[in-house]
This record gives sequence, structure tokens and C-alpha cells, in this order.
Amino acid sequence: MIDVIVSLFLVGGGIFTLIAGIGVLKMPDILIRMHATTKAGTLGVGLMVMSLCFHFSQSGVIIRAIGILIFLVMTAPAAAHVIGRSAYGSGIKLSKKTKNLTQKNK
Amino acid sequence: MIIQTSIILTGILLIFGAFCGFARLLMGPTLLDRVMSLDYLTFVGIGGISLLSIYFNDPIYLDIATVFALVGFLATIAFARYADVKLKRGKGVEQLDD
Repeated sequence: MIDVIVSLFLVGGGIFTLIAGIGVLKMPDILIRMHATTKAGTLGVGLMVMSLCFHFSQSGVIIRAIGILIFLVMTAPAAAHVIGRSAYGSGIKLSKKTKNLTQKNK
Repeated sequence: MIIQTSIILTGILLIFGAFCGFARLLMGPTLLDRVMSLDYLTFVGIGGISLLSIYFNDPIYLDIATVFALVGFLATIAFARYADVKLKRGKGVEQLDD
């Protein structure tokens, strides 16, 4: 029963990480690509780390896995914010659908 | 038995995800695209380390994942600040290409 839960969490995390990778590769714009790598990537890695809790079920492992998860959830938006602010301030060429964001810059 | 199959399946999914990230790292138009794909590759690395921890049945790999998350976050912040400082010194977007 534990093995089934661990397998579900692992495969779900792998699928979400692959979705984030496809978004990184195929999306047209840096601001849109950051959405993929921040949200889907954090969800995928969080699911894969949470599967460790069910597999080992020791208190030390659970505390460390929850620590990794809290750290990821706290730092991924900060990193995305720094990249996005730098990209927005530098006036990198965006795609046509996000053009109205940058009209204030010009 | 099911856990071996799911470990192999998840490894294949992570390899394809890392392939997509490396493709964006190679052909990203600007420096910030490359920084963003390195951030994503850090995520793939943490997932791969936790997969390895289940495969070898050894929870000591979780410490490596913690350190990897810390170093990846600091590297992303440092690269993004570097690009920001480079812009503020008056170089245009064209110099940001490499």
C-alpha cells in the first residue's frame, strides 16, 4: 500500500517536471517561460520530495523533506521575481501577446 | 516491484525534462533565458537525487538535496544580479546576448 502511494507521488512529480521542461522549451517569451519553471517545477519537485516521507517513514527523514519543501516554496518565487524584474527593466524583446506590458517603458 | 517500474518511468521523464532544459540553455536568446533554464535544471537535479535516495534505500542523499537547493538558489540570485548590474552600467540589451 505504501509502495502504491510512493509510486503515485513519484510519477506525478516526474510528469509535472516534464511539463515544466516542455514549457521552458516551447513558450514564446521569457516572462511566460518563468511561469512554467516556477509553478510546475516547484510542484513536481515537491511531490517527489514528499514521496520520500512515505517511503522511509522515519521522523528525521520527514523533518528534512519538509525542510527542503518549505525552502523551495519560499525561494522559488524570490528567484523568479529577481529574474523577471531584471528582464522587465532591460527591455528584452517580448512576444506580441505581452506587448501591452512594456508600453509604459517606451 | 511496482516501485522499481515507477523509478524507471520517473527517471525517463526526468531525462526528457533535462533534455528540454539543456536545449533552452543552448539556444536561449539572452543571458536571462540561460539563467532561468539553469534554475529549472536545479529542480531536475533535486528530483533526481530524491529518486536516487529511494533507489538505493538510503536517506543520506537527502542532505545532498538540501545543499543543492541552497546552492542553486544562490547561483540564480547571483546571476540575475550580475545581469542587472551589467545593464545599469549602460550597456544595452545587445550586450546581454552572451
